[in-house]
Parts: sequence; C-alpha cells; structure tokens
Amino acid sequence: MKNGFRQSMAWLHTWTGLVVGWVLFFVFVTGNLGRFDSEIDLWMQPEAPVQTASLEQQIVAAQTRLQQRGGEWERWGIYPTTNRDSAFLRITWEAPAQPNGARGKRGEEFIDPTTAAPLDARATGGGQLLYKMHYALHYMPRSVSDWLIGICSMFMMVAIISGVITHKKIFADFFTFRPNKGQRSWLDLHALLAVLTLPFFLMITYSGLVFLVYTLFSGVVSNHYGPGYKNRQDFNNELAGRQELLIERTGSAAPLTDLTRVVQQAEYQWGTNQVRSLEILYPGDSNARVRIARQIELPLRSTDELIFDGTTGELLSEIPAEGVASRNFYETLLGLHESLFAGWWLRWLYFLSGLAGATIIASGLIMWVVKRRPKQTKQKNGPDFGFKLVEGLNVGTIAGLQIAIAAFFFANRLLPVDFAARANWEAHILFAVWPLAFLHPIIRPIPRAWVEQWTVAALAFAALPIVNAVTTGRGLNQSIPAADWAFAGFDLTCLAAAALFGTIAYRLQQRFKPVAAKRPAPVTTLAQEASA
Amino acid sequence: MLIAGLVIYVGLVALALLKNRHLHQLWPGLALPAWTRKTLSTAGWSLLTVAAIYLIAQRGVGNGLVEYFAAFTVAGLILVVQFSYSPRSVLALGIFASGGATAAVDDN
Repeated sequence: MKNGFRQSMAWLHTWTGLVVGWVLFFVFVTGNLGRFDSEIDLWMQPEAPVQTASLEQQIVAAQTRLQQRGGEWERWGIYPTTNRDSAFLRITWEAPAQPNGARGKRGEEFIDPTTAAPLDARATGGGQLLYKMHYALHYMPRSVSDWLIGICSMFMMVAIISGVITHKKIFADFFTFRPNKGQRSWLDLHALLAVLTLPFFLMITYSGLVFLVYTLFSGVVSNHYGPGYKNRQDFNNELAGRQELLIERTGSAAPLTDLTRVVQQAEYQWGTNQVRSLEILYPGDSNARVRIARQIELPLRSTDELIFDGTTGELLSEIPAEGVASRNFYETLLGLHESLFAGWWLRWLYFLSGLAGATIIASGLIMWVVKRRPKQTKQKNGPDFGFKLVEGLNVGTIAGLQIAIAAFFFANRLLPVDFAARANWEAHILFAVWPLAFLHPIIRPIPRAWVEQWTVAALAFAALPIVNAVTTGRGLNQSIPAADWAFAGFDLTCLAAAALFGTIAYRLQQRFKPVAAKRPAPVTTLAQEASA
Repeated sequence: MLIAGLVIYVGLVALALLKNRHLHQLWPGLALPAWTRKTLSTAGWSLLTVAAIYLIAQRGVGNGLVEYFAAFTVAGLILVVQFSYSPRSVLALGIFASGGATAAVDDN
C-alpha cells in the first residue's frame, strides 16, 4: 500500500496503464483507421466500378438480388451508397433466431446495382475488418472478445481518472513541451496530449464501455424481457416506440411490396439523399414490415424512421429521432463514438484525436521503461525479466503493429485475385507478421530493434502507394488528377505515415549513436546496450 | 468552426501569457502588472466561452460541442508546438487570428 492519495493514484495509473496498454494501443490504432473504413473498403477493391447508380436503381437491384437468393429469413437489410458505412451497395440477411435464443446466422454481400449480381471484385475483409478488430479482436468468439475489451476499457477508465489526479500539473503546464530532455519530454508529451484530448479520451472510453452494456451487465435486459437476441430486439423496439415491429409471423405467404415506392415516400417526406438504410422484417410473410432510417447528421445516432406495411406499402408509423431520455443519452454516446455524423474535416479531427490517443498510450508504455532503465541497467545480474519483457512488448506493439497493418494491405494487393480464401488470408498475414515483431527484440538489442522496426515500417508504407500504382493503375499520378479522393487519400496517408516512421527511425538512430561512442568500456556498453 | 478555432487560439494565447515561462519566451524578464494579468485572464476565458456559444448557436448543441472540442484540441496543439520550437511565431499567428476572426465576424 502506498502512502498518500496522490502516490496511491500514481501507482494505480502506472499499473492499470501498463497491464492493458498493449491491447489498448491495438484498439486505438485499428479503431482510428475505422474512421475511414469505407474509404479503405474502396481502396481494397480497386476493380469495383465507381458507384454512380441512382438510389432507385440501387433499391431495385437489392430487392431483385435478395429475392433471387430465396429462403426464409428473419430480416433483410439494404444499405445504399447514401449510407456513410457502405462503400458499395450492400445487402444483409439474417436467419430466424436459434432455439436457444442466439441470434440467427447472418450474411452480407456487395451488389453491383447495374446487374443486381454480387460485385465482381476481389474478396477482402476490407476496412470493415480492420475496424471490427478494435472491438471484436480476431480468432475468438464475441462473447470472449466483449469481455476482454470490456475489462481493458474499465482499466483504461481507471487509468484516465487516476492519471488526471497523478499528473495534477497537467493543467498548470498546459502549454509546455520540453523536447530532447529524456524522461521529462516523454512526460510532457504524455500529459500534454492527454489534457488537450481529455474530452475525446473520456468520451471514447466511456462510450466504448456503454457499447458493451448488455455484456457487462448481462441481466439488465434479459431479467425483464427474457434471454436471447430476439428479446433484446423487442426491448429495443419497445424503447424506440416501434410498436409495429413487435409482431410475429402469420405464417401465410404474401409477396413483398415494391421497395422503390416505399423509398419514394420516404424521400418525399425527408428530401433526396436522406434515406440511409432499409430493414425488412419477415420478408415474404403477410406480416412483413419495412423500416426506413434517415441520415445521421447529429451526434444522436438514432434518427427519424418510417415503418411501412411490407405487403401493402402503407405507412404505419413515424418514429422521431428523439425518444425517452435514457435512450437519447445512450444513442448520443454511441453516436459520438462512431462519428457517423461527421463530415470529412471533422472526421480528420477525430482521426487526429485518435492518433493523439494512441500516442498517449505509447508514451505511457515507453515512460514505464525510461523511468526504470537507470536502476535496471546498474543491477549486477542485468535487468529483470519483467523489465525486458515490457521493453520487447513495447517494440513489437508500437512499431510492430504498423508493419503488420502494412502487411495486411500488401496482402490485399499481392495475393492472387482469384484465390478463394484470400479475405481470410489477408488477416492471417497480419497476424503472422505481427509475432515476428515480438520475436525480433529477443535477438536484437532493444535500441537496434526500435530503429530497425521503424525503418521497416517506413519503407513498407512508402512502398504501398507504388505497389498500388503498379497493380491497379490507380496510383497517385492517376487518382489526384481524377479527384479520386479515396485512393489519393489512402496513398497520401501512407506516405505521411512513412515520413513519420522514417523520422522516428532517423531520430532514434542519431540518439543511440553518440551514446555508444561516448562510453568506451566495451563490456559494460554491450551489457547496457543489450538491455537499454 | 475555423472562426471558432481562431477565437480559441487567441484565448489560449492570452491564458498562456499568464504563465511567466511562456511570457518570457516572448519578452524575457517582463513582469506584468496586476491589472494586465487580470485583463489577460478575463479576455482568455471570455474568448473560450464566446467560441463555445458561437458554435452552439451556429451548429446546435450536439455538433457545436463536438466541433468546439475538436477546434480546441487543434488550436492547443498548434500553440504548444509553436512555444516549443518557434515562440516568436505565436505573435504572428496571434495577430493574424485576431484579425481573421474579427473580419469573419464582421462579414456575418
């Protein structure tokens, strides 16, 4: 037990931050790339034709394709390109809930609106997969990842609050950054970015936890509504005032209404380009319902909705965006987290705050090492195993993850286009390259490992635009004149990342060189370097 | 939001000058009389408040507050980088921001 309140908080901040810091760094980097998930989707399917079809044409194609697929489904979803989350026209289907209450099997497909056939483009997880990793991780069921991420987020919440108490001078030193002063600079950077992005940091962590409310408080809905997904759905519908959706199938078949007419009614009411998504409950049943949702233009994520009878096309009810206070609060937090309302410049500022967040975590992890290094390197038997472990994990996470993400994008361009399992293999390659970045610091001295990994990351991101230009013919020389901003933006961001990583590598190289030269005694130098 | 960003920046400059560390980066050894400190403090906090009110009035509470915090983060970041690497440029950007914000408000 530590004496005094601030010392206790400092201890808490140090250890809560350290234990989950590496996971949180992964969450922040992948989640932050998710701000541009749709743009990354476009980049990862370069052969897909540019989407120019009208909304009506998209709805016709979606309905045609969904009906062609046949089968009995609980619900269908249609996400035209007016939807910020859909780079291409997207349809989804979901089977009825399983007998044990679990959610039915789901599937989705991108559609070519001109042919109503699946989009003829390479298979890929796209930006969506990268984005999904920040809450679902990979290679594990959601029930596990939800708890892992939930626990890490709780640690993070504790780390933020104890951090504000620990670094009480952050408000006094608000404008101060002292470069090239070792530990002092790391502390300045850590505290400065934290105080500048504190509202964002608190919001993103707290709202992240709120996303997991049904897992973390597992009985909160099921105690009253019964277990399982369908009951949760009923709860949501009741909370939102969607009484018309609280119905069962009749079991008698009836053809689905022409969805374009329903969409026309919605556009008449809201204006053009206001339709964001369609959900069709019990398609093909005489109790079918169509729910149309409007564009998100506020942090409040719930929007105006129209519910239609799915067989007659008659408007049944209008749901306002704002409902009961608790739901508004919940939907506002989730909306702030997802930032679907943000235009392109606010989106970039979100991205910037996310980068700051990743940097806060990284600098905290590095500070743990920097603070302990003088004492650890003086120990007779060399540094402790724990110290070396943290050093290695830091290199492999902070620099190594960048290399792994670059590998993910290289896989997208270099795996054969007709290779059936390529979507899975893009992710396998990410998670095959990443462990190498953890092994590398074992065989190399830590300073060298940092320099080498940042160099590899810089070269990889510098090469991505070139590989893209060679393999697709949509390189920067074409995308900029054509105002193809998804491609140009992606490639320019790669170059910016390469410049950043290259600068870090160069600066570290400069810093480590004189240290080695100044200390003549070769034996201690080697020992120090190996552990530095 | 750009206007609000400029106003926030000027407000932050005023508050930063209350700290001798930053004041002396621009005017070494200068000691501010109490009334100047009072004025700077009032001006700084007022400008930060005005920017928030302006954004909420223009963009609504939800978008307004989000944009306020975004603008605050960027303005603060720019100011810190300037104080660390090129303190003199604070004056130049400060004057430009005051002028720009005034002109933009006049236009509206």
